Amino acid sequence: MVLESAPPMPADSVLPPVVINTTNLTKIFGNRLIAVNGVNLQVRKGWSFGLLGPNGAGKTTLLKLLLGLQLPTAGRAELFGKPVGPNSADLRRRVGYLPTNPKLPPMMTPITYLDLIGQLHGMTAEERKPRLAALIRAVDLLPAAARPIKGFSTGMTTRLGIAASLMNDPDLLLWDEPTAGLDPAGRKYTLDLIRELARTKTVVVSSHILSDIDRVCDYLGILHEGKLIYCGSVRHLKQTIGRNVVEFELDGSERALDALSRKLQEMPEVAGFRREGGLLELRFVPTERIAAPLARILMAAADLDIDVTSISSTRGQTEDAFIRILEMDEADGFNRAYNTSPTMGNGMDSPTPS
Amino acid sequence: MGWTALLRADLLVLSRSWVLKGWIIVLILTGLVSVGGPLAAARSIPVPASGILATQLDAFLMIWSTVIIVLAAGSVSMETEIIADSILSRSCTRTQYIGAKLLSRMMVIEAVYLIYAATVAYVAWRYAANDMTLATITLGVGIVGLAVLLLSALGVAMSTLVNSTIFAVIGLLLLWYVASPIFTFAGADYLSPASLVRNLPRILKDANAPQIVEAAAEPTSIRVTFSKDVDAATAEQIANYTIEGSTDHRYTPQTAVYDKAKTAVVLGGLNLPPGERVTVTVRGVTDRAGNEISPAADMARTTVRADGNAPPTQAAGAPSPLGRRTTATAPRITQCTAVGGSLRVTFSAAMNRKDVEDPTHYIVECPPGTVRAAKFATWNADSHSVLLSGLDLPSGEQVKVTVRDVRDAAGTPVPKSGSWAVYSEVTPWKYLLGFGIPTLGACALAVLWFSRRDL
Repeated sequence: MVLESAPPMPADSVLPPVVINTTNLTKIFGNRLIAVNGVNLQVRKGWSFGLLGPNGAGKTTLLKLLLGLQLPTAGRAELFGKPVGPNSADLRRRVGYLPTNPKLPPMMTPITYLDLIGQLHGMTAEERKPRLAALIRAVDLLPAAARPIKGFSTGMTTRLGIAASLMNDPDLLLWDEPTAGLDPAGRKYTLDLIRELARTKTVVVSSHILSDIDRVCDYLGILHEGKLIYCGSVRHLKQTIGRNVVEFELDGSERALDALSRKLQEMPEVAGFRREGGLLELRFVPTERIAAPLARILMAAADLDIDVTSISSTRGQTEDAFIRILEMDEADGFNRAYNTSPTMGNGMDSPTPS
Repeated sequence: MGWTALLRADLLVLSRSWVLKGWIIVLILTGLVSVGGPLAAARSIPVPASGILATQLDAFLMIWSTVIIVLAAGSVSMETEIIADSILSRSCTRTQYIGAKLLSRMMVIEAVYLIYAATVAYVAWRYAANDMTLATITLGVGIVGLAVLLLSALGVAMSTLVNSTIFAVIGLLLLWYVASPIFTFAGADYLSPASLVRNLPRILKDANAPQIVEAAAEPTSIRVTFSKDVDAATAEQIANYTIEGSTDHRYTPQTAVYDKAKTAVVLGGLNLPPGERVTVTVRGVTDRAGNEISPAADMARTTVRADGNAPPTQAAGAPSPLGRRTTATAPRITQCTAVGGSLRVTFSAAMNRKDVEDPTHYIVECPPGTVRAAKFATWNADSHSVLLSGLDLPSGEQVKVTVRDVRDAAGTPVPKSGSWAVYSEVTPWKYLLGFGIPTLGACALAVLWFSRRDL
């Protein structure tokens, strides 16, 4: 499915290096479930990349394939230019993984667990002791530092998981649903932390919560039924794939409102509209610029002595674009069999993040 | 470094395991009862040490094996999500993880077993009627230890194969308890724990018959030194000794005093002429395990010294103190081996063909006490052996063959009492291979399978 042609890509020499690269990555569980379906994905150094999809879309499986925790049925996954497998300990040394609601050794304490993680990453005692102390303090677990993990709440476990993923000061963070099960304060803390970390690291965050991705990611991949159906910048998604719908609440006579409706039918920029009393839902043809037609509509309303009580636009809302992407994918029907690459969403239109 | 960290982490987990703690407590309590009871009874009735130790080792194979299975089979399957989330997503290979898991489980389970087995072995050795040697204890404890290692390795392997701990435990219980008859049926008895339980007493019991290694005669006494400690009661029976002079004159000792430290008996109250060459024959002397003195070395010749310093002696067929064997004058059976339903009996010398091919000259007992008749006896001159066929030998039983009234090629007959040998199918090295090779196989299976599975 290609909604519109992708803009020319800059030469590879000016792009940051590829950190994650998958080619036709496919995972089928026991000939029963297709979890990941021919995913071709590239994530470059410095990106904060959101992996978006409904529950069961294959986000967690994709991350586990990238870590070598699961073996691909077909295709391949590379990290930092090298293929990943179950024994790719050297590659995982550069990765910080946070699973959804992490399951951590219940008998260990934050200190002993982080110490073990440090040892697995080959850190010396001189390196890991101060590091674990700083991380425990940073995730606000100092009072529970010597308590067994089995008594921890979801929030505490997630915070410890965050500390574990940062223990080795990784180049790449793979965080799977980091805000799952957190209270509003914990969620805000985590999202702020992701934004902070994204300044210096490549971050991949999976989530089914659109607003979380919207807040912290510059780039986005949408997974649907195991297939990557969109990959590109968040800005592009909002601007070009949304429905361009504007809602008005109008105050005027029925005759004036009918007159306005007639004018709208004559406007080429208006793809369609629906009016119920004073409520008007207006859909523009897909375009990036709606300011001029919008101004003409407002002028027409003023000429007809119609006042505008409120005006709201779903244009630029990720949620709307996301739902539309899913609908378009499903509407594609059997043609999906021939779509081997995701919709390219102008992936390079933003400057490389700092 | 990562590997040792994982090993330490799993040892920490095990040290906090209630299954392990509970097992050790129950083991100590049941050990006190099951070992203390027979030892208390041993004050009035001699209880063989090998029996006490075998019972305790059997418990590891048949009862405690359930606990071992639970400890090992839950090692991976109980924490699949934990290891994916917290361990294997870090800088650690699958091989490191499963290697550490195998080693920690095997180390802990084996340590519990060895400490317990060594304690019981010492107590049985010290306080019961000792019929074992250090070698047989080491062998018996070692073989069962290998079976315990196999069970531990199979448990870890099973826990990598099956995601559910319950299924892993049930699967291994079935394999351990139900497979024994299958192994026996398939002729692979040495893979079977039940077979080991059956044969353990024979492995632990000292099967080496005592021999005469030296005899020294003075005018009033003869000192007969045995190859090992013998039962004082049988050694001090005067009737067990025959002393013949060069003119077939018989001398009868008045006393027989056994010196345990020197493993020698001094036959006193004799009146032997200096320079007389005497032959001492011993019958009926047994060691602590009940092994009767070997017919191959139950006779010694020596010359009576007038000055009280007896010259070196010749013990017929027995190893000399320098490790050399003197040639036995009478032919004897050196080996007996069961081959299918037949029995191969090897002689120390070329034999008179007519004598040895007469099946009536052989008494075959299987098990000892039950006589079975051979239909044919076929001599093989190259190997100095006779194949006794037409026997119906039950599998797994001890076979004793005695030959009488046969002569060697030079016409020298076997001793009047006959010559005998015992064949036992219990060959410990087969158990060592039977449990050792599958242990390596189970470890390899765990590593290979775990490296290829999804987490």
